[in-house]
Amino acid sequence: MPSAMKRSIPILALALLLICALAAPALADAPLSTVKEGVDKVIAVLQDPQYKGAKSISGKQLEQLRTVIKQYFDFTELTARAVGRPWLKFSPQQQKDLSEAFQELLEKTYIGKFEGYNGEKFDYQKEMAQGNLAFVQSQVTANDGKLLAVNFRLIQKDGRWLIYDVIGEGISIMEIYRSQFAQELQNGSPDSLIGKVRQRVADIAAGKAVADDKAVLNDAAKQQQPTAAKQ
Amino acid sequence: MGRSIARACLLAIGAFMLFCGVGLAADDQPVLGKQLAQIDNTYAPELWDAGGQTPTGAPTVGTEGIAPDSVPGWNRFWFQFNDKFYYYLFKPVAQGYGYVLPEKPRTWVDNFFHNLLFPMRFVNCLLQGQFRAAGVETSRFIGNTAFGFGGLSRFAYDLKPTQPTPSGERDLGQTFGVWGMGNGTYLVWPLIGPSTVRDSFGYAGDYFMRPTTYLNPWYWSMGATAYEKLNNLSLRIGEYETLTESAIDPYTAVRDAYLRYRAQKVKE
Repeated sequence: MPSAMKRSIPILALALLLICALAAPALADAPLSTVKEGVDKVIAVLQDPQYKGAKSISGKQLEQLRTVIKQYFDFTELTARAVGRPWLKFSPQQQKDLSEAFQELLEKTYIGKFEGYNGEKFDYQKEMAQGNLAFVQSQVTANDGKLLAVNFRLIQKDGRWLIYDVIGEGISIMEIYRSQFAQELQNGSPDSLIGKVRQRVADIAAGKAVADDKAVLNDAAKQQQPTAAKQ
Repeated sequence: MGRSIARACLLAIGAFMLFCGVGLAADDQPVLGKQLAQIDNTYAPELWDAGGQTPTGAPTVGTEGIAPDSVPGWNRFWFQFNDKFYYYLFKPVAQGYGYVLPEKPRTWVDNFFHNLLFPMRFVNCLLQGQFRAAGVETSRFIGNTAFGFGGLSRFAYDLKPTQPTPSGERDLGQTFGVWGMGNGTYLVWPLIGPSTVRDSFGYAGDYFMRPTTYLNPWYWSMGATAYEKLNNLSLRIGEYETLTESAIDPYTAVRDAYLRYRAQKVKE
């Protein structure tokens, strides 16, 4: 028995060393390099030659994009912070439902915008970290030469940095939804908010635009398009 | 002195309300420790504002701190009006124009009008005390006008100044903000769109710094401005749609986006 223990000690030490060595890079990951890694991976999927010529992001490419984004983006944190203190009044199920619905809404409306990506370069400038929160500033050079400020908010969870907010030209996704969520929660309940977000997702899926009577307008716009094409 | 007392009072009230919040939340769920940790983390104001600076002043949930929405009835009416105008008139016209004219020439037109707005940018740079930015704007204007086909190319914008220089994209509403003037209420104008009292005065002032204003007779001036807007819109179709489509309440989304964007501009 003692000899077996003696033998196991070096093995244990080795195992510990190995774990440390493996865990170290994950812990040492800086916020800025996490953002860079994530953005690079998204760009790699967008520019993957096998999807070249595709009219819109769909099928396998969409799946790949979703996986990459989920790996680097914390939708639950974004939802919690957009809701603010009332989040505590949500049951765990409601928290989960809202996060998922909100995530779907953002995916539906924003992933399509990635199609416009045309090789714009990200220039990472600065990272600031305090405790488990961090802020990364970057500058994107648009194709017409204009500089756009794109910033990221990050949180560290289990030793990994995750993005929870993206800020383009001073407009943060989280902050845009704060008033809207607060307004709905003031007049309604967590469930009515979840219902509203789900309704929006369903409307977009059905090809209807937002404001209550906009469906008609959208049809009008669609009818305009073929006429314009003929010109 | 009075300020620091007020700040201390505010802090005390804030702390008190935080405890009340914890107390209320604790009634529902028993895991108090975990929730305290969460409050520290999730519900504290963000450590950095949208521009990466440490926020000052009391945090607010929405944009009330930037500009109150004192006339929501008026604003919502004109928002709906503008929205219909956009979908029924402006967007289809801009799309048709976009079909006829390829993107490249439209970019040149956009550059031309941007170059023409130099007086507005220059004066506002000076008014904001950004002398280096004013200088850079001047060199760009001369460069683009003389060697960029009268401003059709914006090649001088791709040349980086030797020293980092703040952006020269400045307007009078922003100047008023830099001077410390408050926003007043949020206002939506027919056709012009979201604004505030301060930005409306700025808009009126900038009007006199636009060369197109001085075209004669008046319909040339109007036509030039309308064409500038149409051309610009044809390059930006989809931005408005994304913002409103992803919103639960499009009116609030547009209001907050406008106010936060402008607040950031003033801070720059």
